[in-house]
Amino acid sequence: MTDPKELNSIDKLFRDTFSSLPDTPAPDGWDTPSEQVWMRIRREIGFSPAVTGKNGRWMLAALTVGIVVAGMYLLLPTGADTTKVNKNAAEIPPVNQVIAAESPVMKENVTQNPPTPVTAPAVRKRNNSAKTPISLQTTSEEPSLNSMKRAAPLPGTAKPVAPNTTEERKAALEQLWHTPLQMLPVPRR
Amino acid sequence: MQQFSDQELVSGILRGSPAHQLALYKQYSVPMFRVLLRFSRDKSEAEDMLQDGFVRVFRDIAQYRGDGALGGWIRRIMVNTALSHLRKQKDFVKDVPDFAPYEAKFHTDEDFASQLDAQTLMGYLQKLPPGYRAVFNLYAIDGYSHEEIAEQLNITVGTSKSQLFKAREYIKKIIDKSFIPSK
Repeated sequence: MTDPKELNSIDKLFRDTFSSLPDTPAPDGWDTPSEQVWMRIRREIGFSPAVTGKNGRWMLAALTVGIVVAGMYLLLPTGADTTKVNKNAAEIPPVNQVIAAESPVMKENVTQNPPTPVTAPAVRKRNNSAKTPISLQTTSEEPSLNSMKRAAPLPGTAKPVAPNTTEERKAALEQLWHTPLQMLPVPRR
Repeated sequence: MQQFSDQELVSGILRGSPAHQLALYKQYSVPMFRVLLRFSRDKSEAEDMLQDGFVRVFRDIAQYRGDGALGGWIRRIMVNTALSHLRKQKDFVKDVPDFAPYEAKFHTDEDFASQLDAQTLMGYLQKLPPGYRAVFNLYAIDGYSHEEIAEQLNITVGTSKSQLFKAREYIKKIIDKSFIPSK
């Protein structure tokens, strides 16, 4: 059987040896971890010098703006897309046209720019007006209904042929469409 | 490398400062690596333990209350990380099948001990089976009691004592085999 003193000396040998190691690592590097360890730790805790600090914040902000712009570009219709929208709008009168025609903002625009021909409310600012160059010039002498008849058909004024609309809805929308045109001021010449 | 106090290191890391993260690693990586080398079978395993240990340190740094030395807190995390690594190994605490008490002429004099440096002793420890190595480290070097070891390793106190006894015998055998022929 092993002598207890001998066992204690084993423990003491190891304990004393490891507790008296110098602070500096051994020259041959046996007690120094490789550089890869810190790289892996840094990667795991999500720290990267390129994306931290002020530079990182700027990069994140720029990235966010880029994502938003790209999202808007993809989501908002382009000119070609607007044409498609307008084709659909010819079938179903869009509610936003009616609302825009009734809105005070629209009225203000019209009164502030009297020489400009009164144009039909566009669906989008980016709407290609060359493809839908419909303008209405109304005068007080002419009844608005007549002007409507003589004018080129607006996307919203075409007879709705959409299968899902009822006659009542057509009539109501047509009535709403007529209302703002009657209120348009006479252009000053 | 700029030297920071423990409190500065902690507050800097909590602010997400990369400089403080690196400073903490530089300050404690070598002593903690020495601890983990004792619990591992080789340098590669110790590096894995060190990586996991420091990730835990950075993740849980907010839990450090400052009532003790930061080094002690980190060391406890490292030892716990090492034990979790060892527990994952299949049959972590088991007896070596052909183990028999070793009747060796174990040298206890100063002359003998002076010829064993830390790197050599580390090599001996790493040759131990994982269970023996863990219990010997915790009891003989880190000063844990058998009750604490049993709780840490989820074993009985008797198993802890048995593992320690066999670890000592194993070490004597390794030392004698490697040391005596060279004399």
